[in-house]
Amino acid sequence: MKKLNKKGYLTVEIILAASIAFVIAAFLIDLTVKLSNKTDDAYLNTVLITDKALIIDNVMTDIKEKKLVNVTEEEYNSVPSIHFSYADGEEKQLYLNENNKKLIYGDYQKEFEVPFSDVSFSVNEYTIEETEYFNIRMTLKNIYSDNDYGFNITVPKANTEQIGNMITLRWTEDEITYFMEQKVITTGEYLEVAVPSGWEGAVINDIRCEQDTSAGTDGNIVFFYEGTSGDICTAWIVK
Amino acid sequence: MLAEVVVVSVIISTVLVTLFTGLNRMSTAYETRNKYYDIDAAYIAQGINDIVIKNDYISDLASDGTPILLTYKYSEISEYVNTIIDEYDPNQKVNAYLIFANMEFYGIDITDLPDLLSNRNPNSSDNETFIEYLNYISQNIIPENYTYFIIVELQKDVDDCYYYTLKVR
Repeated sequence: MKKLNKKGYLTVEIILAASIAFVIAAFLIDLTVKLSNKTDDAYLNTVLITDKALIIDNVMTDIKEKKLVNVTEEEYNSVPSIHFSYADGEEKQLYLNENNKKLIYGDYQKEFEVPFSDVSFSVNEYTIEETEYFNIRMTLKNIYSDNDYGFNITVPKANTEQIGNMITLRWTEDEITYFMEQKVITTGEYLEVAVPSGWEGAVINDIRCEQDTSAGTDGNIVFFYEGTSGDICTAWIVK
Repeated sequence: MLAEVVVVSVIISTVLVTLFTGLNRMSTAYETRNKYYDIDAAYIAQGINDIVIKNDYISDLASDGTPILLTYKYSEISEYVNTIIDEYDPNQKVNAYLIFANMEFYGIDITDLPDLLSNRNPNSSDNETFIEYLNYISQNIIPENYTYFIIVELQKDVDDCYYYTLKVR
């Protein structure tokens, strides 16, 4: 074969080499982008699954240790939430903030990497072989994945005997509940509740029980309750 | 110049394809974690275990001499899992198996676990992923440390199954 030009390169040689180089470069860039996307997806999935495990662990620890008495689905601060009531009188709310990026369960808070677009809660009660169960569902879906990062658990209701009736006091101002507390009120007896500092002059706005009467004296709030043992009663106290 | 371009490109391609192969292996490991250590299946197994302990179904396991398909044999467990899945969706189901950890009780080795547990469900044939999962756990469990296992298969949709094995001492 005739020797190529010693002084430089043939045009054809340059074009051919450049074409091959560009094709290989395009392939490599495509590969790199796919690698990067796959890594990002794996990272996000791992982080959200870890968050899911931590949230369920927190809830289940309370259910096992504090004995779950009641679970209801309701609105809390204008967002959907699940309300947990425990045998020791403690109550906790599980809800997401307005951005759907932070979950709050009592004192526990978990901020997610990405916000969720599809959030829902549901609670159902079942009786199986004379044991009462709560099925508690939280759906958390986002636009980045088809996976549901919420939970779906069925737990037994704690078998507890109440001395009287549970009354839940919601201390509210402008329809925002600032804190809640739970008291046991014995049927046929008075319960006097001290008004906390900063809440002087607060009055009972609404009380929902099977049967109820209430009156306030000397700055404290007094309840007198006659109802069926085991009823759950809620009173809204407003400033 | 052509030769240099080709040689350099081959080297870079080899490096990146090696990285891609490694990432694929990592993705497979993540997929294994997601499918074989599912959190929802774990809590289903825990709830079923509470019912097993409450009703002493371990005695049945000893007297039957074979693994038990809990969701088929006991209505309480069947009703329990129906609270979690949509019982009107035929693609959603939960199967739970109770089995002694000591394989000598069944006269076999742990590696024979897939043969022992397969085809025990009279309601449906086994998913292929279930047999793969049994092969996986037969290679990754040390049965001497435990008393019994509860193996849960959570099918959320066709070809979308999740597993968890609760190992009880």
